[in-house]
Amino acid sequence: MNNPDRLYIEKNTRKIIKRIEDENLLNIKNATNKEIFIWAMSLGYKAPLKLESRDGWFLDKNLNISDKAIFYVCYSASHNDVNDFADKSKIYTYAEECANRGFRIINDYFESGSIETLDRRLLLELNDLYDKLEI
Amino acid sequence: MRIHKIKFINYRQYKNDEITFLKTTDNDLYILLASNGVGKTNFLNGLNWCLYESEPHLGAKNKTLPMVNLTILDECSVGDKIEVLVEIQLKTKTKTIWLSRKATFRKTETNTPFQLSNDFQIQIQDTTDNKGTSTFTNDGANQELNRILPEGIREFFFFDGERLNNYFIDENGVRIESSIKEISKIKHLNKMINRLNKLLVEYQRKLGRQSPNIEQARKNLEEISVLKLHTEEELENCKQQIHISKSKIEESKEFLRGQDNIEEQEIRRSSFKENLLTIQQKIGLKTKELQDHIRNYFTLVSFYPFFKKLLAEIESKSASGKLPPPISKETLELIISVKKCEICDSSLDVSQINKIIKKLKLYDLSSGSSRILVEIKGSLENFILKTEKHKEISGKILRELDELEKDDDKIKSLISKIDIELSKYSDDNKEKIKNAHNQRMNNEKLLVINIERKGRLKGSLNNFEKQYLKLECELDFEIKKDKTSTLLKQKLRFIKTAHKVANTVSNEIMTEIREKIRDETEKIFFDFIWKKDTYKHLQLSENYEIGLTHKNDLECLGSLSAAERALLALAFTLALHNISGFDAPLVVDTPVARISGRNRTNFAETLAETSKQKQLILFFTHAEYSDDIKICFEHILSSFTKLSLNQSEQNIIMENNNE
Repeated sequence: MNNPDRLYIEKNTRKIIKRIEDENLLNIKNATNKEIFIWAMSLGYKAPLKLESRDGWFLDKNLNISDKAIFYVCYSASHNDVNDFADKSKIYTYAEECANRGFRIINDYFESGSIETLDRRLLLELNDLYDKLEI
Repeated sequence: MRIHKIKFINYRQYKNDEITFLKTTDNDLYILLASNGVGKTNFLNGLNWCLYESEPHLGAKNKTLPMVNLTILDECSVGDKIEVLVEIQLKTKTKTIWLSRKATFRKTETNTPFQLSNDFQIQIQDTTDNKGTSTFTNDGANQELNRILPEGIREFFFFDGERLNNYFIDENGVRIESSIKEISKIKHLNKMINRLNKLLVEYQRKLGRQSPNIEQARKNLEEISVLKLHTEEELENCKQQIHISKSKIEESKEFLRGQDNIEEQEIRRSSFKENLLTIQQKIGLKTKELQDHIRNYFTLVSFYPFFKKLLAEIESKSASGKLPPPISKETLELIISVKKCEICDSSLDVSQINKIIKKLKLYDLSSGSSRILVEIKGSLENFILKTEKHKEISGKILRELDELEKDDDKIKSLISKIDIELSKYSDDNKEKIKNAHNQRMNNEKLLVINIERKGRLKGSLNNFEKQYLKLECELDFEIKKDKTSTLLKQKLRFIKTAHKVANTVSNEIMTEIREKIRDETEKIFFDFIWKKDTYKHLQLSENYEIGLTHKNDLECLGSLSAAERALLALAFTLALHNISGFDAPLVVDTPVARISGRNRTNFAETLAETSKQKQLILFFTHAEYSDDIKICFEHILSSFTKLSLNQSEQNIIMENNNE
């Protein structure tokens, strides 16, 4: 069992992240690498995408227990075996694949419409998601 | 150091005049009072001419007139020589210093003076240990002057009240940076850095001729260097534009304030503008809060069903005892095999062993996973509670944002109403008021455009700088790879190291002086400011831009009153004197010209306080030397001198009048 000490993104993803930073989408300039990664992960968890290249993005020592909980939840969304939780490598690889898809989705947001209104569109999307929950 | 005496001979209105500044009270404070056009500003020009051979405060009228006194010019015959002299006597605790400039002119047939010579002399008499008198002339005297009152920071000795007001509006960072450079004495170091830079490029070119790879990397670096330089220039230009707009806005504002009948509207407009700025800052913060909320809640809302699912699974495993204790499966297996408790070392009987075997069969998880499940249980519960509050929290932020935007619209509409009223204004001054108003509106728009442009250019410059560093590494790599030209490479390495060291030293010196000046300016400003507990912190950024934080954490330099701006400039000046060690006097022309109301006396009291430690020579017009100002100064003055013109209006009459 590998014991990875960092989380990776694809090399090309840096271009997408730079664009998000340049536009300061969702105040991303003030977000840490870890926070950006988790956000992308939640956008892309339904269709994980394997990384074609690997570029270190942040060290796992920066993850606190709540962040790790999100990682396990993300994994459990499509896997039934909680025994895998002990395999850090499996959990991180899956998280990286979800985030990888998430970054592509963010890139599509940019391509699909006016950046000025993107924050508000994301809020509407968030509200739609929320309304569908059984709360 | 203080000015003891100034002597003028044939210099403009000053035909043969001498003024002595004798300290007769605890305050080293002197006032010269004169109407406009009499010669206050030429007094300041005379000092500048004597020291630096220039007259920076000449008005349009004086620019066309000769420096030679007009009466003496009339009295002379064609071909006669006329001498113009200004002499300043300075005194320190141990030295008396005479600085004099003498220019000789000949009267020509067109009745204009033609300059024949110009000599500058400094005499220093050192009273310690009878060291005698040293005399320096021309170049030697200039070198000596640079030690006593360097030209680069002369504006910190001889002020103009107008500039005091605009000090931190005009070229804020540029001015501060150049003065810090001057007092840091790093000019020579910077010359060396420039020379090393040239050598660096020269040697890189030489190496480029030896290898095509190096040449390509060098060209790439050169290209990005050109782009970087171009962006730096554009940024500089943009800063200039911002400075011009700020000055024009200030100029229009001052003009409009001066119009009695619209003063009230002007004050209201200024106050609305300040409110608008505060609201817009709050909108900015609230928008960021909303953006952070959307980003964080996207994760929470997306994973909400899985938080619940996983939490339910943990709870069910826990209830059915399927979660092992925090002892590993392996440890339990070892206990069974050795029949001994690994913790207390006591032997276990068969029934106890069977119990453990039975339990072990129940556990369907590894201990690592079970520990994780136990650990994340609390986080999952929190996430569920937090997610359920999404609408409540986002609703609150949106409502607050909406309120702020309504306030923003309301204030904008109030400003717009005043703008419409001002643009319709009709009286004798109508055209001027309209122009001033339009000038302000246009420059306010330009200012916004250029501030945004400045941000974009800074971003581009930042990118170019990163690319430059990357390409520089690539060039270094190619040079390192090259096996030829060992000697050239050694020389280049040496130049590069020297360049790096010189740059580091220069930056360290500048940073140290900048921090000292910041601390000192803050200390003086907070000591003097009459609005105690209003301001929290003074910044002097790495770009040498001064900033002031209000106690509510908002930046407030732009909303300071004229008096507070002048006080800040005075505090900066005094800090510069203290840090640089130039214990020079301050000569200020029309110090309260742009200040009105109660703040005039506030600032006058600050000047009075300053004069306990430093010589202050202040020039006033009769209107400016009003009763409230007089009350501040009259009991503490060391001397009071009235300047007026004689009948021919060509010569000054000085009247020492300690009223």
